[in-house]
Amino acid sequence: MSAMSHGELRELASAYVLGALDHDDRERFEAHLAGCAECLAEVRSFRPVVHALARTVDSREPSADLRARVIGSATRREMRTTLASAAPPRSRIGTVIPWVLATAAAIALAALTPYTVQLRNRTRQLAAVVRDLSARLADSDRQLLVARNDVSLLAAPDARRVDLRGQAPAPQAGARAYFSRTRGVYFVASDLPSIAADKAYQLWFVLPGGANPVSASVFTPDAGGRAELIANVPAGMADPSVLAVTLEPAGGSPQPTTTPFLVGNVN
Amino acid sequence: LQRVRRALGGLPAEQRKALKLAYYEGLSQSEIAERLKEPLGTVKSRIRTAMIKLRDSLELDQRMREPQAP
Repeated sequence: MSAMSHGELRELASAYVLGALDHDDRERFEAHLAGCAECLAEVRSFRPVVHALARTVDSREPSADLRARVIGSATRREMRTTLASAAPPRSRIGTVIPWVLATAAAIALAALTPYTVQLRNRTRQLAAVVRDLSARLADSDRQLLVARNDVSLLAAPDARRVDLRGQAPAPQAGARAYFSRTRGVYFVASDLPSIAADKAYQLWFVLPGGANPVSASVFTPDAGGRAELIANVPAGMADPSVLAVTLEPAGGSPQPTTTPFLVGNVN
Repeated sequence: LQRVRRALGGLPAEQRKALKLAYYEGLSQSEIAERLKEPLGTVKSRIRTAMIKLRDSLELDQRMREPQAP
């Protein structure tokens, strides 16, 4: 079994939500999904499609043909029961009954086959629903974990609040951060100006004594100018005196290249 | 429901067929390839393209129905 690239795995998402992956692909994709937020998001993005398809299938009626065959075989079975109970002289009818039974059974079986196919399909659809729900559950677990980290960060004994103020390029912007050496930095900004697709904001730890600033995180705000992130504090880094945000090319820069949009002292 | 039907109807016949076999008949991709006598890769990309189109048309529709932000 050859290794698949992330792109190839991601392409399996749509067939996965349909429940149409072959066994090996499914196992590979599920193993990968457990640790990949991007693929999980891809799976989630197809959820409305599957829900919509499910609603169209639920409204389907059994075909008139199938219905006729099922009703027909039930009626024949009733006739057969009546015939059998009203047939004392076994010597003559005895040879006919097994033939009637066999025919009725064959007809009933023929009517049942499409039904088994329907059941099999329904089972597969339910399996897809279960997979969808487990993906959703994994997603919620992840969010819960993030929320717990947020709380533990805010409650960390060494957490310090940092209020960042908007500077000349964005006077209306503002941000608040909590810095903890052990738990990382939690940062929420509002009213940041929207930026071109090839740009990103970058959060910096500005160190005392003129040492080079250290990048904390690169981020883009949502359409409302809001951004929220948690970043790790590099081990061995001196305590920063200031947190600052600059505008950089997408992907970030090794060192800040523009005047800060936001600045705040770490008290 | 109407939207899905319309979106399904808007797909090229071969994509719709592959999608229907996958969803309504519960076939796997290789079973579909066998049934349609098509290469597996073709079936995979048809299903993926169809799913992406349905997703996009549902999203577009959703966005159009949302009230515009002031």
